[in-house]
Amino acid sequence: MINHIMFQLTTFFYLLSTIAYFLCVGTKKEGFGRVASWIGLAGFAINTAAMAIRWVESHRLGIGYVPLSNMYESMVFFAWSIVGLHLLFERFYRSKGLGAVIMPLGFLCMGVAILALSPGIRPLMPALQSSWLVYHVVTCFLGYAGFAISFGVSLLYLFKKEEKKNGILPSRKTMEEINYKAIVVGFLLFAVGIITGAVWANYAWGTYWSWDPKETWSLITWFVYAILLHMRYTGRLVGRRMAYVSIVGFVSVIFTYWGVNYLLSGLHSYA
Amino acid sequence: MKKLFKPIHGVFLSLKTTIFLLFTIALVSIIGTLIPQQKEAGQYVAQYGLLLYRLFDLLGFFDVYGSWWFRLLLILLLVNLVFCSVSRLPRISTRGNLSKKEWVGRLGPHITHASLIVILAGSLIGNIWGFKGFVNIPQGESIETIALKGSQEMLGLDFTIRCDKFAVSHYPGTETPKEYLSELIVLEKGQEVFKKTIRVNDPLQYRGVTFYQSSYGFLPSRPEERKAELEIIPKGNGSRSSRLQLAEGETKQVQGTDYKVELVALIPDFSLGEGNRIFSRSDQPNNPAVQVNIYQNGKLSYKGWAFLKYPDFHGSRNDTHRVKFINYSGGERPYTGLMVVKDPGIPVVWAGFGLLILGLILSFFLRRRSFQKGGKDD
Repeated sequence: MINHIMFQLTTFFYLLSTIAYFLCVGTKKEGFGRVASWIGLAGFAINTAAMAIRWVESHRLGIGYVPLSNMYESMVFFAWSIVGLHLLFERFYRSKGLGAVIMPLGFLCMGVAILALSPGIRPLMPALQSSWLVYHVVTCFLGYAGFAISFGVSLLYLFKKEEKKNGILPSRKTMEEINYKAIVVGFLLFAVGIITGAVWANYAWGTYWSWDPKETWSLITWFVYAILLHMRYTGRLVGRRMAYVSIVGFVSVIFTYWGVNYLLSGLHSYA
Repeated sequence: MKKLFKPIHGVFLSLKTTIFLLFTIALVSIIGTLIPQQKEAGQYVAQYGLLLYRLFDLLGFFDVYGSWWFRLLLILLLVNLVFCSVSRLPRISTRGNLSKKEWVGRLGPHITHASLIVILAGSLIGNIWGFKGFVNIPQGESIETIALKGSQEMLGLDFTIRCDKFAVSHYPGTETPKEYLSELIVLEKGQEVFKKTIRVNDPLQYRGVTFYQSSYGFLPSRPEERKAELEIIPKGNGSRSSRLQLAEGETKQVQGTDYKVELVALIPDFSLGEGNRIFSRSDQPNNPAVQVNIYQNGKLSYKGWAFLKYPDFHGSRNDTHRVKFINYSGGERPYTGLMVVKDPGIPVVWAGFGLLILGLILSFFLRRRSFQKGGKDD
């Protein structure tokens, strides 16, 4: 399987990029950050190509599906979303320091995918054969990626002690803004993800909401971020508190994504 | 009256209430994901013991999302939403010195909140005027009533549904199902009015009622419908083998030969019980077996068993014939299992979904947010 080898290569690039970002923050030299971004971008390109090749390989096997339908495929897409969104945020906010917390998340996702999950291309069960699969998975995971960036920035916010002007890391104020923006992106896309999931469920099972554990947990996660946004709009959620609530939100994301599949039972058993 | 109303009004207007309700709903929702919902009482007793079962049952933990307290929380959230939206309405109507973009952006949260009310209203419409049910249609048969979900009641449809064919297709060279297909015909007063082959993800809709491919199975066959195809190979040089199909108890003369074949027993699911008693474990063709007698010139010359799944099994070397069990047709008829749903609230819910996305986009991208509040340490 060429796609699996390319995903391994992607993992390696994300690792190199992570190391370069660490060096950037450690030595306070912008140069390392630029190298890290380029390596990250190269890894992102390989990640993209690997997904495309996996799609082609699935057609060669006579199965032919968009590779977004099991744990392995969702993890490599999650990594792709995190790194892609990170590169956008990095470009927008011109700050290399963030990569030191976001890129490890991309690397971690890829690492788990290639080490712990089955890379086999298996035929799709009838319920998954729908174009709604693509809309649903893409929006959900881009939403998760927004929350992942919020989580990373929040961690960084909590670890950064004093305010220094000329540091590699963005100012606390900027970090808070990035956190909010990432949550906004995540909240909107995740809402679209839940909605497309509901519409799809209505086509497949005749009910748009059945309080399945996956559905319920996605709603819980959405509520956590809704609470966060409402508290923020009234000025009650700033500074460290904002960071703590963001982290709680991401714990809920992880449970929605992984916990539900491995600890609870329900309809949504593929990823 | 006004005095009493004011503090209540205040509570429902408060964002603290909103946050408290969202938090509580999220928290109690977790219960329903940890405890399997709406299962049989026996299963719960086995899992939790009688005492915990009684407690959980009393608290409504086995049907969290249908319990009165969960509904109450949702209604309270709804009331809170309505109060907050209505109290802020005067502010929308005055545009003041806002730019047009800013003014439209300010509508965002209201549209978002209104969309949630629309979605809940849509689900209420579905609950009141809709139904969910289930029906099994054997291939070739018609139905006019369905079984309602969660009750013993049957519901008559205004039309007839016939299933002409049910089939499972597999991915080439595997046992993995690729598609479940049902050819459905809608009939009104005996006339075919609509026809569609449904699959999972591609239901049939007629007069507001939707039929979803949901499950399938086989109706057990009647013994007289079961048939076995046998190949009889006489031993010795130059003898031709012949094939014939027989039902249980049937005897046939093989053309052009001097022998007769009797199918003594035909067993779909061969099994050995106590004291080597032979019986059929089920109606399903899991292990079809035949007992065959062959008579040559009126005399019993062969007596033995043959198995469909074990073609190498045969009797002793001294037998006059070899009998191979080639094919079993049980006469089992497939049936298709359909989920039958009428939900007139769907367009309303879909509209609510659209409004929700619109409202969020307006709120997030057209309003300018100041970050003066951020960046401070507490």
